[in-house]
Amino acid sequence: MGHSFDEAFAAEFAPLHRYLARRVGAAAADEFAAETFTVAFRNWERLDPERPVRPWLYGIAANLMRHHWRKERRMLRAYARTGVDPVSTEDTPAEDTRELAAALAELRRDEREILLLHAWAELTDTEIAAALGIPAGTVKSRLSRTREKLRNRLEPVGQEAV
Amino acid sequence: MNSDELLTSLRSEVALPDDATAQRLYAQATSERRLLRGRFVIVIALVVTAAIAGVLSTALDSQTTHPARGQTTQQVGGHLRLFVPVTDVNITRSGHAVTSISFTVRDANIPDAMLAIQVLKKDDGQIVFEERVPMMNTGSTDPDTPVSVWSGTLSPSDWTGGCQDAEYMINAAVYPAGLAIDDPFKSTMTDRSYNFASFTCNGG
Repeated sequence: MGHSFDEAFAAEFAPLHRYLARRVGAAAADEFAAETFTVAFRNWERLDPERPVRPWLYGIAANLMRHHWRKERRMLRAYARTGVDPVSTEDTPAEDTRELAAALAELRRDEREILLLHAWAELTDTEIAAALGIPAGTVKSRLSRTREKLRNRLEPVGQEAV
Repeated sequence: MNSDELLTSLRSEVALPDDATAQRLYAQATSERRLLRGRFVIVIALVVTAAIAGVLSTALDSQTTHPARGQTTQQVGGHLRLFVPVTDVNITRSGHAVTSISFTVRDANIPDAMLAIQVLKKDDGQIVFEERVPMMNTGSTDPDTPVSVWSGTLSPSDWTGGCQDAEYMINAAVYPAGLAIDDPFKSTMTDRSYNFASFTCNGG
C-alpha cells in the first residue's frame, strides 16, 4: 500500500524537524522542514509508491541544506570556541561536547552529512545511500572512516570505547 | 562516554516541534497546490485515529505502529494530535480486547461536512469496517467554534472478523458533503482532512 502525503507528514515531520533543529536550530529547521515538505507535496504524485518515503524526504532536506553547511560549520566552531551552543538550550555544555563540535566542524560536508544522518536521524546505511544517491558501500566506508576520525580526536590513545 | 555516545547525546535535548509548528508548516507545505487549484481546502487535519491510538497505546500497553513502514511511532502519535479536532475519546475494554471506541470530532472549517471512517487489518489490508456519516452542522459563525460536529462509537465486534489479536489501522477523513468523492482516503485528495493511526485490538 502506498503512502499518502498526509501519512508521510504525520509520520516523518516531527523527527525530521528535530533532526534539522539539532543541526541548524529551530528557526532554520522550520524553514528547511517546510521547504522539504513543500517539495515533497509538489512531487508527490510522481513518487514511486514502492519507494521508501523516509530517505526521499531526508534526501530533499540534504539538498536544501547543501548551501547551508558553511553556516553550520560556523555555528559549530562558535560553539567549540565559546561554549555557547547557538542551537541548544542546554546551559552548561560539557567540555568534551565543545571538542566534539570542533571535530564536527572540521569534517567535510559529505562526512558530516552521512555521520549525522546515521547518528541523529537514525537512518540505516541503505537509507542514507538512497537519500544521498550514493552506493551503500560508499556510505558504509565513509561512515566508518568518519567515526574513526572522531574517535581518534576525542578518545585519547589507550582509552578504549566501552 | 565514547565518541559515538557523545555524538548521540549532543543536542539530544532539542525537542520535537510543537503542534502549532507542525500545523503551520503543514499548511505552508500544502498551500501551493491549493492556491493553484483555487479550491476550498481544509487546513486543519482530522486526527481521530491518532487520538484514539494515543489512548489505545497507553490503555493496551501496546505500540502504535506506522502502517506502511512498520516503524514504531509512539512519539509521532503525540504529534499527530497536532490537528486534533477530537475530544471526549473513551475506550472501553473487556479483558485485553477493545469493545468500543467513542469520540467527538469537531471541525472548525467545513460546514455540512462528511466524516469517512475506514478500518483495515494491517497484515492483509482487508477493510473490516467502512462508514460515511454526515456531521452535524452547528451553524456557528464564530471562528473559534466548530461548524461541524460528530459524536459516535466504533464497535470492533461489528467489524469483519471482530476484534482480533492483530494490528489495525483506522483512517479518518473529513470533507465537504457537496464534493463527489469516490475515495476520501486517496493520497492525491487535497480537499479533505485526513489522518490515521494503528493499534492492536486484542493485545492479550
